[in-house]
Amino acid sequence: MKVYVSATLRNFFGKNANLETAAASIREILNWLKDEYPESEKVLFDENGKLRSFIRIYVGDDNRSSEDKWDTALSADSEVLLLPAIAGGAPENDSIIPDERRKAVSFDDKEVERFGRHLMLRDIGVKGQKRIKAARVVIAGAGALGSAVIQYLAAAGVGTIKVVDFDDVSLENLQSQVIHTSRDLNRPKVASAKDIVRNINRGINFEAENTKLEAENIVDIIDGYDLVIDCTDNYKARYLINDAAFLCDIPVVFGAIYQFEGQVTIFNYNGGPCYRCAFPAPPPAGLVPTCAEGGAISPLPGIIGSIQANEALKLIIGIGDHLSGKILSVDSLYLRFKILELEKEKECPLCGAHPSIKGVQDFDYEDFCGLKQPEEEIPIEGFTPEELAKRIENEDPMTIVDVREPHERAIQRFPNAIVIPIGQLARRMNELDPEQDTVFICKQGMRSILAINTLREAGYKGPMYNLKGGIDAMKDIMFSHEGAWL
Amino acid sequence: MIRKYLFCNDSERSLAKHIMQAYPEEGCGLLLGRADRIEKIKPVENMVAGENGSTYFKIDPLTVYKEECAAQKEGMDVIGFYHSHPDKRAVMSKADEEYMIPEMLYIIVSVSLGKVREIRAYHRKTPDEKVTEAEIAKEAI
Repeated sequence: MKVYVSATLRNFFGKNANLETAAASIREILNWLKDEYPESEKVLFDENGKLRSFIRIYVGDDNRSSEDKWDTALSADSEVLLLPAIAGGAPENDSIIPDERRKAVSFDDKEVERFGRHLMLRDIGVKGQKRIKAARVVIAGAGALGSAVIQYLAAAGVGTIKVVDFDDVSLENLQSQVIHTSRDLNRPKVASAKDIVRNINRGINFEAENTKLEAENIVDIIDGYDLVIDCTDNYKARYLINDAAFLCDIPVVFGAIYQFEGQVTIFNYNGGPCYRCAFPAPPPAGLVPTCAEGGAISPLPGIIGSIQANEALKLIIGIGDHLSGKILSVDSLYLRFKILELEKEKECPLCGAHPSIKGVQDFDYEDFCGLKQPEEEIPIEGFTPEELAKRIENEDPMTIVDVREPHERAIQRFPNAIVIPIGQLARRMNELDPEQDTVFICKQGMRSILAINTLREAGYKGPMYNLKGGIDAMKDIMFSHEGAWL
Repeated sequence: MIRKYLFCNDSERSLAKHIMQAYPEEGCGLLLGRADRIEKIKPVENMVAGENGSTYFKIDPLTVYKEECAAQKEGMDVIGFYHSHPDKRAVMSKADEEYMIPEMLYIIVSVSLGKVREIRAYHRKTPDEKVTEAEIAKEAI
């Protein structure tokens, strides 16, 4: 009997189109094929021994694919055709919101009017707007990025918004954190976030978490939500959010800014890369300043945060292309927008083939992000702002080294300090007197620790001290001889 | 390793044209050529058109048989299949994956409001392997 193998399946049958066999039924033919072409077995049958969905068996133009027809005896002159079944369907639902939750949502007349401009978009429509209302989103950080994300997601109609931030509003926040105003100074950031959301739409279920993200609380905070928007400004929080979100199977829309540049990407979406794939380890503590230290132009977080909100809505509605596996990099100074490919790391300790991180509680984030004083290293001695002020008043002999950058010193000069930027320290250490105490100062007391470690590595032996909390902590100290704020 | 394929002889344009005509139903067809070269596309009937053709497609196995015999006479093989996702992204759906024949090229076209938005290609070596995206380019003339 003749067996014809379709060109689409021939790769697994020694590239032969026409086979001759003595088998007398379809079952016998299939068994014969398995013996003759062992490679074909896994193409013909699935792991349960069922014929694959894409295989069809015809005798002439008669479809004999179903198993109850396999034992019928065939005449020697019949031709059996082994053909492909070609079929498929559109992706059912690209949205991260399950259909049953969408269906449980309804709108009143006011909502139909409020969201009219979404409803008229073919890609959003009633279905999309229902998904937005059904969505439960956690926004980590109510700072500059969070300001844009919170306002747009509230305006778009996200049904449940949780905002996590431990900080209070300070004057310097008002330059870019547009949900907070002068009236909110010294109030918790989550309180002004709540006000703004309630003013936009009282129907939104707003949840405030006035707390710092830690390994102990992160899972409780995000578990059960559909999406996390990372608007934080530090590495510990980013790794914590990434790891917990991966373990709870929640995608993360990540945003970050620095001076004039920003980045947006999506982690943990549909088997895509995670934060650890992109950034396996944080830079040494103190090397990369946060926005509090490095600064950022005022509208930049508005741009980046708006893109984060837009990505979040697309994931919720299930439309368009998005930034999973890609990083959008924005240079606001020279107006360059680039999209870089981001690959999943096979050996990623979190989402790779052999993961070593199986719970956030077992991982030491403080240590990983260099926030702990390593035990084997000689501890760094430091002065509190009060102690240093006292020594200055007493005119104790000491050298004060300001390691800040020139533009930072222009904002606030430290009297009688010599200036050596970190990069030049090792080269210029002969300018320091090892017989005398040397105090290192920077904005927040992190880079000065880096400076001391750098000099120690370079072999400097003199006594070195760090100004704890940096110049920021010294702001409130008044010197009697100056009679003015330092 | 990423597989690479080439659209030759205007085949990309004929494919886009067919997909736009089929909209809002799923259009489907065969990719004919040799090895990594798509020399010609052959539009075929979507058997579920008129029923649930905007979200599904199905090709008669006997049509594939007829078309591959015809292609062979012109010195070409069936090297894969294409179909469209009207108003949806050009990503593999669960159904697409279930029916995916190993070693064949699958092109999915995202089409919206009658316009082609995105053309993406997929491939896998064995039925149990993960589907990987293939690269597809226009042949330089």
